[in-house]
Amino acid sequence: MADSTLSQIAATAPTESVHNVARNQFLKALRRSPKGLAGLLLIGMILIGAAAAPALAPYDPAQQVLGWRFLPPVWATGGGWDHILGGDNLGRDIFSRIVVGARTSLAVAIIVVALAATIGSLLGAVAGYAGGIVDNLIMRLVDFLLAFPFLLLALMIMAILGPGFWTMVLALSIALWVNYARVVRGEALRIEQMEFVEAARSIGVPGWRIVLGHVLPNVIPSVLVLATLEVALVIIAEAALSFLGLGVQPPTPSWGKMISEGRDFLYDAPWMVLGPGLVILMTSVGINLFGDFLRDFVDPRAER
Amino acid sequence: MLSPVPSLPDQARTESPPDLLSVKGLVKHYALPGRWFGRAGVIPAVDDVSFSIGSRETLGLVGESGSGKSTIGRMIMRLIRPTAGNILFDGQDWLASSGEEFRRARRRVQMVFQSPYASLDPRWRIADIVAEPLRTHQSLPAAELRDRVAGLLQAVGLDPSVADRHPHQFSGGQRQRIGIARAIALEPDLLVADEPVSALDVSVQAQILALLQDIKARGRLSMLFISHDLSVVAYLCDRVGVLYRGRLVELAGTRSLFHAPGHPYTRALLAAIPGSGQRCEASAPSSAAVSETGCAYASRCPHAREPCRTIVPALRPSGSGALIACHRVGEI
Repeated sequence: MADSTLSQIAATAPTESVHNVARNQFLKALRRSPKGLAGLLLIGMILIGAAAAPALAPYDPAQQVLGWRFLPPVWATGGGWDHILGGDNLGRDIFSRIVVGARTSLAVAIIVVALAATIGSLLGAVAGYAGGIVDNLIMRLVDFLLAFPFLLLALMIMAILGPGFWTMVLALSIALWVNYARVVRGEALRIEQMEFVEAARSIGVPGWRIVLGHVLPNVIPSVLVLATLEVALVIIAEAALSFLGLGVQPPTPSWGKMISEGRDFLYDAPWMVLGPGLVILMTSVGINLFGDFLRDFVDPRAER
Repeated sequence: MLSPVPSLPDQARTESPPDLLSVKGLVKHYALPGRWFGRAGVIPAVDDVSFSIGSRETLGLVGESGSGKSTIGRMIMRLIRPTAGNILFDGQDWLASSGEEFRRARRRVQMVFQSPYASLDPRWRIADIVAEPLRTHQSLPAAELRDRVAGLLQAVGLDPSVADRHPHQFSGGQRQRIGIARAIALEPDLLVADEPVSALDVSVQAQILALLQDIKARGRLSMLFISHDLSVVAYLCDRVGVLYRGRLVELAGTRSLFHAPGHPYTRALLAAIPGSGQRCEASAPSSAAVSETGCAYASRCPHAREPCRTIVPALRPSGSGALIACHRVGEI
């Protein structure tokens, strides 16, 4: 065997604590990855904007001024720097509404995706690993939920629970976890066949520890990809629910709601959807880029 | 050690110490699903296999692929349940124990897997892989756990400083050393080694075999060594069982098996070792289904006569002390 390789490994072995090593590795990997940096930059900008919203917004997002109605943005004729992105159909400053609306949209997207991914991954891994009756029970529930269109399902749950921010979060999570359960179950079935799971079983590791220790860490890449794709979906779904009066209540702004309000005026005032559309695009591109980087980072086989 | 026909120390057992593991009438059938409902038939992967392993003894199981040798190993590990038969471990019914009792007993039987690539979780650090059995069965303080892992890595010839690395940073031979370190972490009484070297380069095979030999010499370990490679088995094993299509056709001391093979299939296997200077007299394996009755080897056997095709031969002691399942054992 290559004993020289061994001594090389020994010579470069890190002496710091494991946590320091992990943090340093993360920063090093981030510096080397343009897409990771770009993604982090986009997400960082949007998160800081949302956090500093009251200071950043030039006007009260609910303030209606007749003269600002359909005010064009700065680059169009008639626009001005005091209303960079123009005004909407009710005479409110669009930039202020985007900045403040970021809080609602991001909060819903992040909480829902995190909740759905956690519940779905756990149940999917259990179904895949346990098999038999447990698998059947979980997957038939998944089939049942998947039989309804995603938004209709969320609507039905909200009709039962009543309108509001948290009921919306709950409804969207219940409607979305099934996607994760299906993906993770498939992956778990594949991983369960691998020899290292059999090795753990032969040692006598209990089933729940195999699921948490071997199955879940190995499905993280797939879950990350799915989660990054679904952030934009949730932002739009929030818009649809809010549009129907079930989500956040007016005048609280959210990106999705701004787009659905602007839809009626697409020909006369396209800037009403342009601003919120661009920030949704930025968020989803940023999260996708960063998620891609993260997936490579958590895979120890990837080149550092 | 990889010379075609090895010179062997006399390892034939004179008296039999109490058996550590004893397998009786082990059967594993796999059902073939029918086109609509029910089953179309059964595949007997393992058919009525009995053997025993004494304390500090190494028993080799050889056979071609599909002969059921890995299935036997996995049934002993209780990774799959046998269709019939029973297994006694240290005098206890091994298949009946459950719960906490089984958890405690399981520590005494550990396994080395075939693939050094698939048997280590790619996301785990070496330290965690080797510590997994210790964490599962003992609650040790972190410092002691670290020392134990370092000791185990040293015992298999690895530098303890590799503990923070991941499996992909190692060669196949190094990975198999890690797998062995994990298997001996709980100081088992029985090690089931399922083709531990067949995925490795020949030069690395020799090192891993020497390591296994070394571990065996150090402790009071018994081993079930599963392989398709006779020269590897000759190096390590005290006795050898030859499997053909799920049945044990010969069980003999290594020395007597290599010098005076009794069963025609064993002879064909030995003749197939390159450079053995023997002529291979068996015909190629036929794809035709094995007849339900009679000797499974009859269709390939140059000595097959009438009883071979109708009566399943039982494993019987021959004159030399070996057990042979052949109707014509004295005549050929």
